[in-house]
Amino acid sequence: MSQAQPEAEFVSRAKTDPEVFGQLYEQYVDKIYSYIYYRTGNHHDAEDLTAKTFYQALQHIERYVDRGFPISAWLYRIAHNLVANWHRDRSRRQVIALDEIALASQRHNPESELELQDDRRLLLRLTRRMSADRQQLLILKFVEQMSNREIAQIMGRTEGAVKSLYHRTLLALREAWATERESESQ
Amino acid sequence: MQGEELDCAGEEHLRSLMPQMMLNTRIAQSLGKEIRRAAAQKMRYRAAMRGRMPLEDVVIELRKLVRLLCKTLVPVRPRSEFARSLGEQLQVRGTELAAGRQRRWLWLMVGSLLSLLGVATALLLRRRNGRLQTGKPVGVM
Repeated sequence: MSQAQPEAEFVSRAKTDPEVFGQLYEQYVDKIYSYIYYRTGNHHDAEDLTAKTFYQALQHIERYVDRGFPISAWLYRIAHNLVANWHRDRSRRQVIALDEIALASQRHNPESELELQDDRRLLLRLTRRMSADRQQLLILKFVEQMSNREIAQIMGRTEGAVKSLYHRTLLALREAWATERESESQ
Repeated sequence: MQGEELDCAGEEHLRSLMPQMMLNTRIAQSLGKEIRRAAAQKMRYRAAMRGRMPLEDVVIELRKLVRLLCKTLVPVRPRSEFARSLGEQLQVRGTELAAGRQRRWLWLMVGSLLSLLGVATALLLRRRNGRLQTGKPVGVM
């Protein structure tokens, strides 16, 4: 999508033209995949749910009503609902396979790198224990590097509520981190 | 004699006040308990506050946490093969849906036209039958 082309027009064209929808897909597939991956913890389900998200978007884009929010907010909402259903439906053990990310870093100093990897693993584990809202906020903030305003649009909250949730999330994460480290040292 | 009467009257008066005094004592006792409980609570709170981290340390820890979050929560890309094949599948599905929508519109138009035609025919037939019954030739007003 070109900068000059307003998003509303782009979306209205995507409703009838599969080519334009294809452009929309290319623009957001990485972001949606990233979001789902951090929420599910494995590539297999991330691929599955990303496909479902875009199929649903394609199916319902005809009825999409522009309420002044970016189309990404709508796509994230679909992905969020699908992930919520996935968590609700699955009876299998939770898979935590986020190790590749931690291992993908460069190894300057093996010892400090090992420590960092350990910290990152713990942080991911703690993050995934948090409520869906808090996880969503952290992913949008750090992975997608969105502003509080954009996050508020996606999460359907006010900017103030997002700030407050972010603050509480960080404090809760710090608390959980300290508790975990304390129990490890004992 | 008069003094004894006075004493008796005083005792009577005191006796009548006894239930009220007992009530007051109970209130005073419960009030004392409440005060002791509140004081203990405040002392515990102060002790907890002493054990807490200073605000500057909390801020430093939060900054460290944010830095670690930045290093940990990094964007992940899907496999290029997956992204490409999903894009193609969506393209096919999109074309099918568009064709389906067009077909739906076509059928809707045909249906509407047929129903209009039906209504017009019915009206014509009714008019013709009405004219036949009154004996007037068709087409004569």
